[in-house]
Amino acid sequence: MAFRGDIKALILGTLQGEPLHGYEIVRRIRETGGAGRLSEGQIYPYLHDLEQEGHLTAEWQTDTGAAPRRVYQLTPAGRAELSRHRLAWEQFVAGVGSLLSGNAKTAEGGNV
Amino acid sequence: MPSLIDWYVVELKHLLSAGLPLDRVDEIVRESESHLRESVQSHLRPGVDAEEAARLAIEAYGQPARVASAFLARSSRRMAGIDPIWWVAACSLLAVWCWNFEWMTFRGPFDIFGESWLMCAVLVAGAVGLGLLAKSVRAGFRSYRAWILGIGLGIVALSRPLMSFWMIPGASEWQGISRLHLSRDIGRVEQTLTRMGAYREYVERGLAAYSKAKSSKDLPADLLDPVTAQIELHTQPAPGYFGPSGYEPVGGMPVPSPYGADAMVDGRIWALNTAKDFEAARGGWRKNGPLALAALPRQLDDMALQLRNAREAQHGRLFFPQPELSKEVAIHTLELLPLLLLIDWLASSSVTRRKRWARKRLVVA
Repeated sequence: MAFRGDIKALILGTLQGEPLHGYEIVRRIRETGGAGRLSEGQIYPYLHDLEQEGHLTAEWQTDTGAAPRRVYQLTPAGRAELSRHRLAWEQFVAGVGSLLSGNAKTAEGGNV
Repeated sequence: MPSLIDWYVVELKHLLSAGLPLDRVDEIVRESESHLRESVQSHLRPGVDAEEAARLAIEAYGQPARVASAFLARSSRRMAGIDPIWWVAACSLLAVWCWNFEWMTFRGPFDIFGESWLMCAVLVAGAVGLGLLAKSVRAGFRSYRAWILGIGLGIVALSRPLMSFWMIPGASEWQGISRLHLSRDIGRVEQTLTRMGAYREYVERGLAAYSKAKSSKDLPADLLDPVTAQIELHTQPAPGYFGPSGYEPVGGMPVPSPYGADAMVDGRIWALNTAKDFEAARGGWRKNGPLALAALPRQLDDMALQLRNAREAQHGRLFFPQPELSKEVAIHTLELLPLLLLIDWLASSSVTRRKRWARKRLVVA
């Protein structure tokens, strides 16, 4: 499970492939378990934050025949932000990974 | 008949309206409704009717109060670009300062300097401060009681060093000079001392004159006419006496006050009474003159101490402990604290009450 602070990264990651509407973004994030204890409605403020920060753009889609939906799309700034999050995540995973594997070696070697 | 989703949307709009611009509220509500209706469709299956699907969708989306709080807490916490916590701190300090105006500045509710316009300004500033405190608590959508309590108790704890630095007292605990007005008020204290000295000479001269005088014709003008004495000695206000028809500000003859000179650090002294005629004035001088002369040395010493302290402050001395003064500030601040906490409670609970009310209505629906 991700920390709550990662919600923005998860949103950016969800949108990297294609523009999506809010319901679909939230559904995908909930499927990953990354929303933690946040309800679906509590994820939207993060979406709006990202929009205000210029990482996303949003517009209402009304010409599909279905009910109107607000569709979000990554901006270049959003892609850069996603890269930054990805790098930070990779560093975190690498750091934790090396620590855990180092501990494992110590235990195996009996070097106490 | 409105569906559960319709009720939800109404409640969410109602809650968001407490702190967001209308166009933003509409945007959020519209998006929430879109999400919920899509969610309802995904929950519909055999055995799950529309109402049950709507209930499940709302459960997943979150109660309106919870969702609204998430938006409000992230979206509209600033007042004029400043976080409400700074407003709360500034307004609490302003309120404490206004409430302690008399003691923090030696000018205030008891109006020893007679500047009622200043007190009105302080009253307005204090009221504005309390109003802004309520507004900023509402803007923050939570209670700031810990902060307010901390600020109040912090001032109480700091009252002694704060006041002994800020106010330069004399011997009296009810007047002094603020550090801000040192250069202006030192000249005024010197003026007060000069006037007290002139008054002492006047009383000595008056006692000598009355001991020889047979009638009012033997007296000089400043012992005959209270207005002449007042102008010569710069006493305040125009001397008068309480006659059968009440206070009579003119007429009669000047007589010294039995209390010496009530002197202010701003240059004014109160020192004259009046008597109706020569015989009454002579009696007044015999009785009050010695009393005034006995009181004046201590009063002159008090004012001289005030002047000495002010000069020392001007030359770099930092602290002038006056326990009574800091005690007054501490007591007054503790008196005000419950009011500040009450405002915080009312302002924060008015937001919460609306949320609770909304939740109840939703359950009923």
